[in-house]
Amino acid sequence: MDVRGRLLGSNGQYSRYPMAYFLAEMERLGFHGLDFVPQTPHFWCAHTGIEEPGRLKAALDEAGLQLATLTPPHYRYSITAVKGCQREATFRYYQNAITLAHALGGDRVVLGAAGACWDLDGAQLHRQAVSMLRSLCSAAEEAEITLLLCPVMGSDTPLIAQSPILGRAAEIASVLEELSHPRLGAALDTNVMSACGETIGDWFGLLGDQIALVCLTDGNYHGWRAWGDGCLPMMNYLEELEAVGYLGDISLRVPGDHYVESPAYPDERALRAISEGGGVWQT
Amino acid sequence: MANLKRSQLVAMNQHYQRFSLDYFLDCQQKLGIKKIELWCGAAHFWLDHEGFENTATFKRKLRDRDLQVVSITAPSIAYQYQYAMQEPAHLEYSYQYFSHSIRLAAELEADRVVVNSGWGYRNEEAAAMWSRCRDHLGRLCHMAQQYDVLLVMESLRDDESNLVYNLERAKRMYREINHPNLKMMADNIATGAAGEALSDWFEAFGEDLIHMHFLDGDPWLHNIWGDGNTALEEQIQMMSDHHYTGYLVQEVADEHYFTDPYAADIKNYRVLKRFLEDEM
Repeated sequence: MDVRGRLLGSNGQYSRYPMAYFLAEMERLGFHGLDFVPQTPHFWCAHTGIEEPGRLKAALDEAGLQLATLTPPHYRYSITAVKGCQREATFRYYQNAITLAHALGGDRVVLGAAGACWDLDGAQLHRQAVSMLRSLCSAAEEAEITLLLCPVMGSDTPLIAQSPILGRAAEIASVLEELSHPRLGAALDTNVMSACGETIGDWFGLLGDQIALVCLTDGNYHGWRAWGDGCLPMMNYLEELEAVGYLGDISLRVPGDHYVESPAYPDERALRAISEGGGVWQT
Repeated sequence: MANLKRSQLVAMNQHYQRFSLDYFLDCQQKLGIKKIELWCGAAHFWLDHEGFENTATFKRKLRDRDLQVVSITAPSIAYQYQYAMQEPAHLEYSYQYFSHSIRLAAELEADRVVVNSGWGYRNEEAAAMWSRCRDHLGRLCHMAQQYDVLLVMESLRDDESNLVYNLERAKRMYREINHPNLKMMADNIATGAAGEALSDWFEAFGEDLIHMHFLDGDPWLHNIWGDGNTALEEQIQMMSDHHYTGYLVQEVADEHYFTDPYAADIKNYRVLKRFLEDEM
């Protein structure tokens, strides 16, 4: 099985280096697929607009990188926001992200419920998120983009908590069922999944082929980590993904700022582990 | 023994970022706080490079709770904006964004805006990123002058910035910008992490040190008082020795407090109240 071709590199942890540096590192490490984070200083993506994507597309082409997924930083945007400036900006921001993904030749945009207000009623947050996603699905459909709802950290991880809702597989499945939209799927984040006490079996049992991306990251209750630096059984997870028949993309993006000084380190660790892991995952 | 005045204590909303604005304001009212440094982050107040939200509702909320905004912090680095932005177009967006924070301060009758140096690429030529930051801050000083607002510059920790991360570099930036609307502040987490004493900063800037983020460092974390290892009485004595009577902003920015910021505030003021010469 060609796992190597399914691994996505990401500029997420390269935020303190220029885009050209990141692209050179991707070439050195042999990545061909990309989970692009449209973050400054690499790219301007905001609720007010995006920079012209042609230059970036040309640079990706030259580096032999194909955009698979776009993961916009949530910054201060939140799909759970109440009516007002934040909510309006959030809608426009993800609309722009959808446009950007399309322009770069990608077909998926990853988003989640980060930035929720914990003093608001959970049912209210849920309603606001669903309403926002419904509107965004329409925009996604026009651009032939699929939105992937990714779980976010909740109360089990107080230092990095992002939202009291949409952290568990059942909640994600419930929203997907409620909206039942062909342009809405799910992304699995192994660190969020593990922090909630859930398993790959739980996720695929509930969501099956609606999972169109796996973010295969090590981690702990304090954040996301390079393979071997956290406390998750990464090789077991690989085998479990094989066992459930997952054949989609695997993103090696590491959320957070833990590796901004040495951003290639998590990529190197993951590639080495996979290549030494044996079995069907050997590259 | 030297003491603090109640009017020096200023609350900040950054550690309430997982809660609504109303929740934060209600908590401050219960605590008896009168002054706040407004962190313009979601979901509390919307500020971007095109402007900021209508302030009428916000002002009413402040008035209803007898609260006053005395300073503004426009979040940098965490969002799309920062002071030493590398790409020219992004730098211009940043300039517009920080300019609006100055306008906001004027509109809320706050006389100061907190700024920092931002950061350059890890592999960037030092002189290029330094001058980009200096020139940007200089432009902002001119803008601040038009609105009769002061910019107060803090240093950052060296894991946050490769520009102004210690006193020596703060002095150099202050000297090179050389603008009457640029004043200085000490963030005693950044200064502690750099191994500097508060007295070093007082001696370096004298009366131009007008503002402070005043926390209990260990020295790295933005702890509430009582959770770090700073000798509080000694710090207060040092401020008294240097005739500092400016604000002491409680920038409780460590994630440990984000789950229950109100409980953190209660514990924090429990410590500080012991040094107040007037009642809260």
